[in-house]
Amino acid sequence: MVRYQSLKKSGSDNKNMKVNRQQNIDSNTDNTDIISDEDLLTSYCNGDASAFDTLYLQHKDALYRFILRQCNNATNITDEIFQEVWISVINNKQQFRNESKFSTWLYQIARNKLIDNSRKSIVRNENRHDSFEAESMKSNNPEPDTKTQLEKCIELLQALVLQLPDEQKEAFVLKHDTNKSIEDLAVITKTSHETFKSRLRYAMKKLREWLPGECYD
Amino acid sequence: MTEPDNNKHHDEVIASLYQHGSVEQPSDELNKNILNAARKKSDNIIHWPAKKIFKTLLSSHSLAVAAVLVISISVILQIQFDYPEEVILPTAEQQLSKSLSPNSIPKKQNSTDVTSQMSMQPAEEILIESESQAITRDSESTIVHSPVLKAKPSVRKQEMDYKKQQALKHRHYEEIKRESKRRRHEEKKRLSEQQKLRQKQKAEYQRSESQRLSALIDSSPTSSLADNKESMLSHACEKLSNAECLASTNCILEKDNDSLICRQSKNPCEKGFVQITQPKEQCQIKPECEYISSDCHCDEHGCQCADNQPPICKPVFDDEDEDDTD
Repeated sequence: MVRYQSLKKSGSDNKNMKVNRQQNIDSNTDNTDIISDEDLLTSYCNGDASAFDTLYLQHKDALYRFILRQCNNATNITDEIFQEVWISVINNKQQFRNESKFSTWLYQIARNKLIDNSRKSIVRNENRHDSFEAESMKSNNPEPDTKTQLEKCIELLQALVLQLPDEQKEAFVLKHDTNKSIEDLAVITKTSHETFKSRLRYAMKKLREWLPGECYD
Repeated sequence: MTEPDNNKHHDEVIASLYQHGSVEQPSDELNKNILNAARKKSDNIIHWPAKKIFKTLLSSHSLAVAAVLVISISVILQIQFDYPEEVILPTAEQQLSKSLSPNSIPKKQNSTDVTSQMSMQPAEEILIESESQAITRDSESTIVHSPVLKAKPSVRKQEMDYKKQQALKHRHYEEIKRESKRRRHEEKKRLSEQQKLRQKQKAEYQRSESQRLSALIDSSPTSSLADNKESMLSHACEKLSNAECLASTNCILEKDNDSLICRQSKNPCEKGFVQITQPKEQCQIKPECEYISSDCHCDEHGCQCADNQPPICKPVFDDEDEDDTD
């Protein structure tokens, strides 16, 4: 229990770290609270390059992690797709209509790019297989004592997330990386509200089952 | 702890673990690349209209634009070919001021006066005058090499007006040319008629002259001798001058030694034979008459005949008969 408390404490510290990071972004762009993403994009359309900088800083980390997980932590492909997504935003900024949120539009672009990529090659499957084997090996082989139990649990969870079916993994990553509402996430994944909730529930169930009990202590 | 509470607790742990491990970020190089791309695109936005126009010209509408250009150039060339002289295209303001000015009507009258004066002159002069008028108008109005090139908002109307003016001008020139041609033809006709009249007058004069001689013969003092008509005529012939004798139908001028004498016509060949006017035809028209030619010329000083022998019309066998009788 003590260990869980420390985990919880460190988790909350991590949350605080994220909040602080967001605050730093906010402090860099004072108008973030006032100016919405959509307004920033409009400013950029009118030739204000700094508006894009703000927009990018706000969304880059979450989007990068979403793509990374979908690519099974393959950074080279992730970098490529991440860049493609933003270039697509830059080139097609005139096509954005204020009918939806900018973030929804951004993740829809990313999702389409990921689908295109998965159609193009089977790299992801190969990566998944390799990583699965690697993680299996990691879990089977005794770890050196240099890592703490917390670090081991974190690594194990990340590996387990990658083993989830694509739709469930997508639902889990979107929910925990973007902090968006279920409604928005359902729009991004082009599913109904209930379907998305169901996918998320299944993902959580599997992770609960797969994660060893010592990580809950 | 119940099952749902347990699940909730586990979910919280999973979320904490996941968020704790989610620290991945795009590399600085990647950030830089994307932000640079955005800035480049933003710079392009500033120059967007020009680029857009250029792209539009080169892409979808390039063919249409090229076609329009080709047609425009061909129309301009055609206009310049049809009207090689500099074309006057008054501006809209000038046209308006002209139409509103009170002197516009008198100016028209003047122009008609000029036209009426021009109609009395040959076409070439009229053309030269009209050109000179056009040159003087050049100084008042704008000279345009091509009406299409100077096209402005109300250019269509101006073009139509200009075309109408040109058509009127052409018609006017054609009328003037036709008039000039007609006058030249009339002049020729008049001259030929005058020539004919002169010839007629000459012929009449000759006829009247011969009539006068006849009258002179008739009114001679010897006419009182009715019973001796032959001697009377002979006497009358003697009184005639050489020219009068040559023109007379009853007298014959002939050579007597070295001098010329006028005597009465003796035979049918000599009667009615006028020695000076187409003597050959007059002689040969009569049967059994022979013409002996000679050229005679009469002026105010008298008559001169070749070898001093006037033309004679005599019976063919006159000498032979006389010889036979002898």
